[in-house]
Amino acid sequence: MNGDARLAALRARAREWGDQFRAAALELDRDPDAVHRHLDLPGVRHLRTYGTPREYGGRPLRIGPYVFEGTGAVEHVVVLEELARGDAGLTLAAPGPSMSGVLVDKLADPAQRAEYYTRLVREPTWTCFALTEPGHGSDASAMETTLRPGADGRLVLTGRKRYVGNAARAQLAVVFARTGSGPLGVTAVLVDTGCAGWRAEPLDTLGLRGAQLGAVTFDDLRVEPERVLGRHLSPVRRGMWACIQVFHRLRPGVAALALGIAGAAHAYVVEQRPAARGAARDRIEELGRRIEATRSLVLRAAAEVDATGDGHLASAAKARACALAEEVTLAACELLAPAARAGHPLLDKLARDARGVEFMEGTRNIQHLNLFPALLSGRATG
Amino acid sequence: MSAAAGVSAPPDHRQLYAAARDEGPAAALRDLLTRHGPHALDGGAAGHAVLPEPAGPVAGRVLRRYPLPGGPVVLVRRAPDAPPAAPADLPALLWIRFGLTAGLRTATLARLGRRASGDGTILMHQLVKAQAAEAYAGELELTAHAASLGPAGATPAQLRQLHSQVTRTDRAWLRLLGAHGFLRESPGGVAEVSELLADVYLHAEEER
Repeated sequence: MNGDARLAALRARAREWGDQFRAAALELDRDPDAVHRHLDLPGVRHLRTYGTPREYGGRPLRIGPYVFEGTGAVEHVVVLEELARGDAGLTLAAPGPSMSGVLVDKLADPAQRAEYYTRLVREPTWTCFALTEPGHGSDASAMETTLRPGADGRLVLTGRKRYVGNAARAQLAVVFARTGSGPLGVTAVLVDTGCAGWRAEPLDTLGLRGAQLGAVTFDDLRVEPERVLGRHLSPVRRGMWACIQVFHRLRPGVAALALGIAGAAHAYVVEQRPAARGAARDRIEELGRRIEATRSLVLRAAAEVDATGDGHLASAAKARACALAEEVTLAACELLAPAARAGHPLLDKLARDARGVEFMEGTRNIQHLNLFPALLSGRATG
Repeated sequence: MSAAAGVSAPPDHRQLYAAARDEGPAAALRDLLTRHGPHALDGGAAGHAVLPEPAGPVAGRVLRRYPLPGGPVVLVRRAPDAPPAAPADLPALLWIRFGLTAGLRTATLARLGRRASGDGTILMHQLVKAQAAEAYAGELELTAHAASLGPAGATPAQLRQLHSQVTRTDRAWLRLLGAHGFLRESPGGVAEVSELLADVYLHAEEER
């Protein structure tokens, strides 16, 4: 099929980029600021303006006869899996739209889009997506950060966020806040992190250290009303509904990151134990088959999101891929024992990274709760 | 949160278990060194050692440092010309890991019991209760099995199996603990070192 050849070409290109990421993986694990030394890698340059519309200076990726605009979830999961196979940390550390871009794409008005994308194209610009709060996780119904009218006609952002990727290095942030009670009282606002009242500091995480998860405080940060995303839309379409739609689009991407980590661990064992026989050989081959199976689900989930926006397959894919990443990295450690983690720093890093994807865009429990209604309604027939 | 009634360490390992559970890996490993001598942890299967900081008289290079609640622990690569080391006491290390699991369980239950969700706490969600009970059942099975092995102790295969299950039980608690457990100086960091103990001191399943 032509579509298969097209994606194969994209995968081959992204794998080359991922191989370059692997060379930087341990450096970035030790020093997250090392990302600044890798901004010219082709994979980082791709992520930097990924999905930027042509009218704002975005340039599609061309590989042979194929053109990739960067707007489809399927394309994105193929690229993300291969980059994460090189290094999930650098994949998440790269400047660019990342998670915030999905929300901007969905909600921003023309002026907001122009500002956002022009900045991304002009220079390496880090963005972040601030939803999770200390004490409530990503439960938007319990969100405490507020966006209230100020006396000077501007809006006042107050509150705290936690576990926000790239928070301390971001120049632009999408911040979720409460403007009133209930699901219609949640909104997102585009914040320039140079504003007074923004304070972000990195958290010392066990893995995915390149992503530099951080804690953010908004101390009466003043925001122009024009920066409320979706202000031209009804509250229904810019509140929790938009948030849920964004998660549907993001989850296949997180699943792809997990798949990349699993693939990297599997490839590492194959490389280190080329002469494995018997039970060890069987186990290595089984892990490979399981990665293939989960890849099928991830691609199918991405295609479903592209086609209908429905996210139940995305939840299934995210849950399965994150479980797989943990299982494959643990199995790899057992297959390379003794001292697999002490003596193989790259594998040790993969085992730590695998734990981190579980907490991105909802844990396994959240995904299962998302999936169940589809199961009950009959939508989850695959 | 009360200590679990179902876990009973054998007398030889009771103190190590309690130290690991209540004070963390550094205290438990220091206790082990006090009982077995300063070189009791030198015998990693591939020339590594996991030691409480300060590391003491081991001849080697510190590869990694783990800042943890209860004190830091270091991973050391022994010098190639270091004198041969006796194998570590694997059953003792297993009970240290059981103690660390108990500490992780206590920390997780306490955190989930504090976090509000709707009219109650996250801990009281049916889904969470079931997973916590499942993890705890696994822990009870592990400790019961280890305690039943008698004076001859566990075979190498049994030890590998037990350590592997400890890791998977800890991972179940860590998923419940959430992103907090992904911070280095958290119960998640302790679980990381617990995994490292198995990694460093267990031998391979087969000769390669």
